Amino acid sequence: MSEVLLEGRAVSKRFGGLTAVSAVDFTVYKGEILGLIGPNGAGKTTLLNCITGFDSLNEGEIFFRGTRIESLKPHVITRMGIARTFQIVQPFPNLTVLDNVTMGALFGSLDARKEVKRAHAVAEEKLEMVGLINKADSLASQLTLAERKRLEFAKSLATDPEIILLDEVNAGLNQAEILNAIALIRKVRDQGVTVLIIEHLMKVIMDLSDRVIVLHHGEKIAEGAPREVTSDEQVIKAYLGEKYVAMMEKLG
Amino acid sequence: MIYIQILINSILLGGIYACIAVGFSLVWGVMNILNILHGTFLMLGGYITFWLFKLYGVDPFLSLPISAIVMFAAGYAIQRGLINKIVRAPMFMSLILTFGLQMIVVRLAIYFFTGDFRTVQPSYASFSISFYGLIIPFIRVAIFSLGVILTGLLFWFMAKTRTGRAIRATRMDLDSAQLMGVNIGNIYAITYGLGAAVAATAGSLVSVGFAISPVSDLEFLSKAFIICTIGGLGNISGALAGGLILGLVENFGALYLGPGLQNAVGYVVLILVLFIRPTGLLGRKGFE
Amino acid sequence: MFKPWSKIQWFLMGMGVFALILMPSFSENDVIRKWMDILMIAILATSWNFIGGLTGYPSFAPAAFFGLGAYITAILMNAGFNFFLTLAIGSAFGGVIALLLGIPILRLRGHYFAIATFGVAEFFREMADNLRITGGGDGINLPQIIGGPDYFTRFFYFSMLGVAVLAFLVQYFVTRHRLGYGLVAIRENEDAAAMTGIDTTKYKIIAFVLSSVFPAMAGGVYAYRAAFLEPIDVFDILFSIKAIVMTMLGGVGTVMGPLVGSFLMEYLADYLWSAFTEFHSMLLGIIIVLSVLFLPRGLMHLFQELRLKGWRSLGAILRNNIQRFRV
Repeated sequence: MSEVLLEGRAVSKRFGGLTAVSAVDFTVYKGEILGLIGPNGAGKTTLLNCITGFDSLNEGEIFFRGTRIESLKPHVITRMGIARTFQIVQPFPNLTVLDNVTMGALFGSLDARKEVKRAHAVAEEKLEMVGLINKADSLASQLTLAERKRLEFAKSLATDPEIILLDEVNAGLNQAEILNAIALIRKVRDQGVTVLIIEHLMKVIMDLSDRVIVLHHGEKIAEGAPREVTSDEQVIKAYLGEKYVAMMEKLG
Repeated sequence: MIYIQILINSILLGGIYACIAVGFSLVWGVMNILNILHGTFLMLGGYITFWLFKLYGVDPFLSLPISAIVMFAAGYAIQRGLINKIVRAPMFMSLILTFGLQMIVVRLAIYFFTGDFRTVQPSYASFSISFYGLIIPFIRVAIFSLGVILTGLLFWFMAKTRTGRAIRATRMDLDSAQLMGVNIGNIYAITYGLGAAVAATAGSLVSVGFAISPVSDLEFLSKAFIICTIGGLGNISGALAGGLILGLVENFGALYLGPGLQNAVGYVVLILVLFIRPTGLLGRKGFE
Repeated sequence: MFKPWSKIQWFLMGMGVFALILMPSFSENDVIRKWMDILMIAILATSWNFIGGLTGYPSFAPAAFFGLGAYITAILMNAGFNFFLTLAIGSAFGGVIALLLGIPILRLRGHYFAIATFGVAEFFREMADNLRITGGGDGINLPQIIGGPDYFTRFFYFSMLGVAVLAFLVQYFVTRHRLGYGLVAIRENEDAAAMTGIDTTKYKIIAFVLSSVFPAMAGGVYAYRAAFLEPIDVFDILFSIKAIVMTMLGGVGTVMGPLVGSFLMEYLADYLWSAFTEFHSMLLGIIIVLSVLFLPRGLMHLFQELRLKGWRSLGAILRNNIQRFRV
């Protein structure tokens, strides 16, 4: 694998007595799709919050292209080229779809001296890409959930990222919409954007990811190719529970 | 000795302040409404007591329940008929709405009551206990005690009654309270009515020891602002703590900086608390 | 969101300003004075729109900066400064104070922010009441302007008009550029705004400063005209309230909203309450209540809807408005 894009060393985050992320090391290589999986409450979203500057770390370091970013503010991190989507979508509800995406294009990248007109053009291009161009003039609050997820995606893409962090973009979508989303993520990667994806649906992870990291109770318990990881005993235990595994062993 | 006297004055004043603020805190905490009418309810409560005393010779402490009942009804009607219509609008809409209502009510109060300062003067108004050179005015002690009792009653109501629990459930999660069959429109109106009733009772108490006029309401309101912000909103102990702190700060501020700056000191504390702990000293995170 | 104005729109606006420039040539002094008051409210409303309308932070600070500007003009003119220089100094000083206050205050959200700005306005008033330099509660006199009533009425009118045009132009250009988009993004969703790369802290502070400099200027004009200041007069929280209400009536977050609101309401209201002078504030209260209930999104929005659906649907739109935000 090629060049390291994003790297975390011994990243830890505690909320009061609860350790949400515990000494996690991770590396994201340029051009890959990295899956981040784990049961509910494993600390996946917290890890994204740490990378994007929404939560401050208790310990550890995060590097983006060799620069330390763990103490930078969210908007600075975004401008450096790290975009994200939220698990619970965060549109600007009373603005049109086009204006929503325009925000990303106006402010997202370091050469953001582009003016409004130019930003509109970029926004249209991204809407075209995610298939929302026919909704450009609708208000964001009028979209369906699937459309809002795509809007969120387009908004992040408009910031011209090198890496995009996707937090459960498929939750709540139906089969056809999921296939659509998978194709879209591939397309984004083929355009040179690295992808880190949090996902509950195993099928999506198996289809998309080049590598997978598994978190459990805030700790990294496995890392590797999708097939290896899913046959890892610890991972199965984490997902299915100790008892179930013991039972299966007894049954042979 | 002067320090002890000021300490006593501060505590007596603080009890009244707590009582002034507690209804405001309730309405803000449950419905996220910055209720500009709060001071007006206090002022009206004061006038109910004043007129009952002046016209019919009703002892001011006996008129407390009347104040409470009348203003509960008024508050309930205002919330049900007007504020409920815009509860889901951006939050400063409710602020502006209550401001508009305040302007109407205050203007009417000036028309009917005149702008004169009034105070209720029962025969026992000047009684005081003194020992070792300390003076403890009877009326202030009575107001203080009733204020604390009133705050306690509200605490009990919220903790123990069915309606109180419904109010707390609504505050925590509007949608699930609705799913559990709570009639939100009614609960909001009851909450607002309670806030008005407690305010009016506090106003009745205040009218005995202090002079009131139709435009006193903004002064009461700004005290409520400060107390709730210091204490943190939505919890009754916060109002008590905030009231006592403000009482202390004002009295000692007046001692050291001169009485003219008494109010300014209150605002400085308000702004400082907001800087250091944006949710108030006893406040919880998550309320706006 | 904010489309640049067409030539026709600019032409109409230019005609409007031109009419305001010509108006004093054939009007009585009391008409001019009334328009001066309207312009002053329009300045306050336009300024409030920066922080309250575009950015979504409900500020009670206009009164604070209005009073600050008034007192700076009073103090400096007594020290022999030129009037226009005091306006410049007053607004610059207002901007710096807004910057320093904004850094901590703008970390607060919602009602806490509202209360903090209220506290600032009241604190300023208390200080003016107690400091020696402001003359304390006794107030402060300013040098009388030299010239007859015809002259000084027009002098103050044109000063106010100048500030109003300046405030409007700044608002127009802000909303047509990145800054305006950033402010609106903050209003709509502050976390998401940060995530799209907006430096939310910086933007909020800029909005707060912009919303403070013009009231300070207007306060300066007001002070020279009044020739005598009292703290309770210029730090009146009603200035803030009027700014908010007029903006809301016109349409929050639009450039024309504050102007439409101030012009229409102040002018109409003037007719209304010349009949009931005693109940001035009550009428304003009634207007506030009715417009919050029936026009929660302002006149500009109503006009837009009427243009789409026709005048006949007015009743339906108003009925719809009052249903929109209920529990």
